[in-house]
Amino acid sequence: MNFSHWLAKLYALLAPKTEVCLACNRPIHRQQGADFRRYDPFFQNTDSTLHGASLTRSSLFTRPTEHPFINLCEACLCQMAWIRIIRCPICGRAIGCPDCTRRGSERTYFQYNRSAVQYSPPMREWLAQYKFRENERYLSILGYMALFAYHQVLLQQLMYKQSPRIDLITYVPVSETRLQERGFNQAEQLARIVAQYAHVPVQSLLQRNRHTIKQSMKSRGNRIEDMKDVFSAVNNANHQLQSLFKIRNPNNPDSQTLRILLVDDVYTTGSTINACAHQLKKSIDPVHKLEIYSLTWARS
Amino acid sequence: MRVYVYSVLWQGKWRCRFTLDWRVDVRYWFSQAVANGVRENSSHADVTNERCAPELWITTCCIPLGTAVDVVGQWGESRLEVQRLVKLMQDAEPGILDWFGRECIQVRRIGVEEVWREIGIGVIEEHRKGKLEGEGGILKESLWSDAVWKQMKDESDLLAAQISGRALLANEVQELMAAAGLDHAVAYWRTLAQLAYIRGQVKLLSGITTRSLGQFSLLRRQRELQCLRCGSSAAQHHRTACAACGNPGCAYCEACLAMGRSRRCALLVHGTAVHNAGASAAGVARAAERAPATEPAARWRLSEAQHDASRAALHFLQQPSAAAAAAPSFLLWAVTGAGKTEMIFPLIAYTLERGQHVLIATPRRDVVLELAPRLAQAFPEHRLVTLYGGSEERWTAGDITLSTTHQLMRFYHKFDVVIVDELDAFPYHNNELLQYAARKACKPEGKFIFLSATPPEPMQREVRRGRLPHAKVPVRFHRHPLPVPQRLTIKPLRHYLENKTLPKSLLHQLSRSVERGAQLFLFITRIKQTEAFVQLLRHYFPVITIEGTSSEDKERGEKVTRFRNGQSRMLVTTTILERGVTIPKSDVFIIDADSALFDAASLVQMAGRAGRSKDDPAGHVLFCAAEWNRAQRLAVRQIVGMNRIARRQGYLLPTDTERSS
Ligand SMILES: [Zn+2]
Ligand SMILES: [Zn+2]
Ligand SMILES: [Zn+2]
Ligand SMILES: [Zn+2]
Repeated sequence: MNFSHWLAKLYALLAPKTEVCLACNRPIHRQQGADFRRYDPFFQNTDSTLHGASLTRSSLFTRPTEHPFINLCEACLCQMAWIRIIRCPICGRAIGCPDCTRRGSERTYFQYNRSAVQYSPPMREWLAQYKFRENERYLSILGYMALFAYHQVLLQQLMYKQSPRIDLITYVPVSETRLQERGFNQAEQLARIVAQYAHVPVQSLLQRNRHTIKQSMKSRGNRIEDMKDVFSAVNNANHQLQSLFKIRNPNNPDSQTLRILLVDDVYTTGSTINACAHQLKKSIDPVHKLEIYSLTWARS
Repeated sequence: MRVYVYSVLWQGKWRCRFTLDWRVDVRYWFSQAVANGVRENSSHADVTNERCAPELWITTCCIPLGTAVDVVGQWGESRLEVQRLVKLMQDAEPGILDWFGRECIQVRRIGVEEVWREIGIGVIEEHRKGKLEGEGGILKESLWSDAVWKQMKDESDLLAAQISGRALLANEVQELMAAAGLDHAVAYWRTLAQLAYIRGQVKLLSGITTRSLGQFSLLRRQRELQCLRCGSSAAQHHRTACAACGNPGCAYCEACLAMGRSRRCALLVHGTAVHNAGASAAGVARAAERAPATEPAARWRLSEAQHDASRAALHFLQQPSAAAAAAPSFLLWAVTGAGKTEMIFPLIAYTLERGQHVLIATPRRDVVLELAPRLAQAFPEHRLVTLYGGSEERWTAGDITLSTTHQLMRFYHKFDVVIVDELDAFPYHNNELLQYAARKACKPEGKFIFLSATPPEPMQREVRRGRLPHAKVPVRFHRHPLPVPQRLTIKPLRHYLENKTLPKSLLHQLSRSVERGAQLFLFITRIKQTEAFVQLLRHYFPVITIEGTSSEDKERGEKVTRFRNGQSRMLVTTTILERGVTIPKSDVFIIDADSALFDAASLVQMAGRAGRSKDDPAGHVLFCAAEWNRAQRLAVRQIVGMNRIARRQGYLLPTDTERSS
């Protein structure tokens, strides 16, 4: 047996286990009394009451067994650019919004978008670490953060005097080539975490038909043009949704609209989400029964 | 990724392989059949002739790469069959049947007569597609045409030559192809890689592979995962669900993640070195003629001590390496300020003259950037490749490679001589990874030269036991002895910061240094104390500029520049500046020198900041601490020892008294 190999193991055991911040690699020093959970927006104000109806956290989500923020240092926790105040009710932006008013000729096929954070430089870096450097340790953190946007989606429903509810979660697909290279679809992983916390089923309803060049390389006009036919609904999407109607309301399947939450990592112009929503609406009959909401981790 | 596994009957023996593109393998092993076209009535003798395999047994669906690599490695010389395949797959990936359908594991025969028939009706690829899932690569034209086959062979030769000596992940292979004029072929890179693999030009492996824990039968089946790129073990792997292979717990390596993701099902390509025998033989002949040119002192203007050490190292390189000894090593133990860069020039020149590859590696990027122009200047007729994170020369080929140790992970058996500078400049836990990478980058018959002022303890032990050939350079280039650290007993710094006073003894020493016009390095152990200590010093020395910096300081660069320019006189710092920054006239104060954070090596390095210039060779070094501990004792012993050797060997300049007598 290899001696130095065992020696290395011994070293690993003897070395003091200092917690290192996932994002900045510095040791985490927690000051006395400081609680990383105070950076968790749910920890600060757990309940939201609006129009007499209340949205309690405990009724919506299960508490994480180990809080994902424990892996971040104080300095990095401060970097989370939460969108707490929403200026644009359509895209969920925290600042004024020319995009949504400019959309004009292009129809919007989804109700509205909510994002957890602004796409600030540090947030951009985190996503890049996860998505491009493929450091999947970020997933539990980003996924938990996305839950804040889920809360915002329901809160908006409440403001529109609807009962807060999502029936099904789906996600923006990546191409098969990308999936093979990366080994995961970031939107799907985020969707699955939100779904797990919120106890909502996840289904794959969309597919990506071709590889598109990087979004950021193109102008807005090009982007929208390019989105045509990139996505389509999977073959049995309609069937899947119809059966869900029946499960939800076996006696009168037509009485209710089905609320689908579409998940993606970043919302830039909304063209991806809109193209996906369009395809979903096209695939289902009758259309009026479908309401599509968008959840993205970041709003750029 | 997933691949097919097959075994083929070739020259009376079964050979097991896996394939990224089955068309290549069928075309390759049945090439005679293809060349002859339709020959329905051919005799049996033709079928078994040397250039045509009679049959090939292949899995009907793809299996995860890591598992396939293990299975192929274990299979031996028998025909592929299901039962053993299932067993070996389970050995390779325990629990695989929980997520990989048992019913998917089947094998089928492809006979040469079948292939003939299909060629005859011109449907081979279309036909096979139905029988084998997926497709290996994208080719516009059929591989079965002789012209396309020849083109593929030529392109795969080109690719193999480029990959030679490298260890690359799939996306790196594609990047390399794009950089090497094969950008049109990136779409069918799998086809070319497969062709190079069956022709033995590259090895295909999985990024993370299993190794057996022992030779005994009980332990042989106990396996452990290891990253083949950085050598890390399972403790540094993280398992996640993987869409590329279907494994819900597909391991990836976190230790080398910054260099791209190595994982259980990720392809790792090792380019087997292409020996250019003719060229190197000629090189040796030429080198023999020009032997005098490698006399170090003359060509490189070395001092006597440098010359002697360099000659010893050259002698080590000239010896034929014993086949049994793995990677023979030589240590150049040169004190701080000895001028080690000049000493490696003769070694580089020697290697280049023999037409061999030389690598200079160091853990530190700033050393790479500093060394690059000096090497380029010393060897203007040779191509220098400089590699570090973000370097643009990643895919360039050259004669001399200068690289950070992390970049070595992308090499495999490439270099004949590997010179490792300041291997000890990295914390111990990273050393294993870097050593693995360095060993892998070196050819099996290659040689290592280590350069250090403070070799790590295991290496010093080898030196003492006479197991590690070495040469000491005990003197600085200016031929003055190293300043020996003085002891100053004071309480821990924490105590003085609380009371906002400094002890008289320390203040006296500080003033003495300030008055003699020196610049002062003040090393401390805690980043948090920097600011308070700077404030306190400013209180006592109000007229001079005093600054403090640490690894967490964003303005570190500017502060160091100001110190270098002489704009600030005192710099309070943690060990991050123990190497690299050289100031002509400087004194060194190591506060809390008894701290466990300072080992003998870092004390020697910090002390090495003083007395670097020939105009001020005797700077002061003070170990300020309450205790006189082992590390301090060892550091002083090392410094005094080096001075003694220097004196004994006559390297030191005669002192004034010696001169006058
Ligand atoms: Zn941090
Ligand atoms: Zn908007
Ligand atoms: Zn690794
Ligand atoms: Zn995998």
